Amino acid sequence: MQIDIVVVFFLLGFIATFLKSDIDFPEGLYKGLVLFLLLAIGLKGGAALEQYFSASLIIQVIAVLAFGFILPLIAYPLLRYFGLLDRINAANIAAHYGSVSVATYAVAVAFLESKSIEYEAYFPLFVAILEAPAIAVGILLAKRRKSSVNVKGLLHESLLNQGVLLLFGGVLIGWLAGPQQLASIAPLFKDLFHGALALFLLAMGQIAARQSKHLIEYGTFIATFGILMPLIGGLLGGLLAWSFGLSEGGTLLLTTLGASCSYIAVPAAMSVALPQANQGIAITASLGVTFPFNVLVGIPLYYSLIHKLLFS
Amino acid sequence: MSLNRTQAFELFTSLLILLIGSCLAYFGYSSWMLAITGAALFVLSISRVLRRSNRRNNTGEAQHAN
Repeated sequence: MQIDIVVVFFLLGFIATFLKSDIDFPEGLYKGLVLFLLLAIGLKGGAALEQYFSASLIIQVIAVLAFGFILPLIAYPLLRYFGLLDRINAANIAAHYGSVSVATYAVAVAFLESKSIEYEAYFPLFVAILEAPAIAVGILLAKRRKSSVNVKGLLHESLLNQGVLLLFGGVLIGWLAGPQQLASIAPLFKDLFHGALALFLLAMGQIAARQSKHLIEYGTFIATFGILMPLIGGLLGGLLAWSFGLSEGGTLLLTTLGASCSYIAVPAAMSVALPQANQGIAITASLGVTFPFNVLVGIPLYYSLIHKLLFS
Repeated sequence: MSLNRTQAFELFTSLLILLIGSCLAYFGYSSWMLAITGAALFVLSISRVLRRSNRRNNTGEAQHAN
């Protein structure tokens, strides 16, 4: 089995932190790389949108939106009934698992590009769409009484968080500018994408290693849930992609989106909406368990299954 | 040894992941890492259950001796 080169950077960061090495990754650079990746992914999707724009795409968008609402509703009862978590924390973790991870998506894109597998280039639109619904569902699950829900705040946190805004902004700019105008900024946003992703994954490896140390504190349930939920979400995402009739690459991307969970947009939104929730549990599950699982085990496994079951 | 709901879930899920990973690997899919993940989760879960059970037994014996 050959490991993708960007994943090796993740392993380097993970092992280095585990061995207590002192790699000092600047916080500003990490934040800059997040901005870069969100914009680069959005621009790429926007440039391809004109080519794919059709009625079937609108149906797909609606179905993907519904998928984003369903995922936290699957995670929530598991966390409440089996994890014995209180309503606020269960809703908070469910929101993380209903949303998506741009970094996991970027690793899946790098995986496809390393194997020269084609995929529907409008996928960043789905990434942006899937970021928001889970936040709204999570807040509604936590605050059952309608009077305590601040609709304005809810909409603000769901639709105007950094991830959604930059992805949608990138898609819009890419769509309006078109491939010809985008060629002038391609040396930054296209050519440097894999290198920036590798650097970002080095930082992610460090963060994941730090978070996985908290697993002892939160128990084995979080580890088990963090592995089970991506398998459920991935299966549903794969079935949805199959029902759309997507290409092999597109099926892998929607499977990966279903399997991934947020750790940038959702924690930021939920810490404002549910300040009493313990963000540590959710971050440990998403960054310490699910992200490494998807990057190291999930993506090659999903591809192997999709390739042999649906496309061979 | 009695299991609570969370422990039963952990053991069942880890065994299921181990089983799915092993079966898929047997049929030629790249899933041996999934099987290893399931096995690791199972070991973690069972060791936690056994440790808790031992602790309970020790407490019971100590109370009985008193």
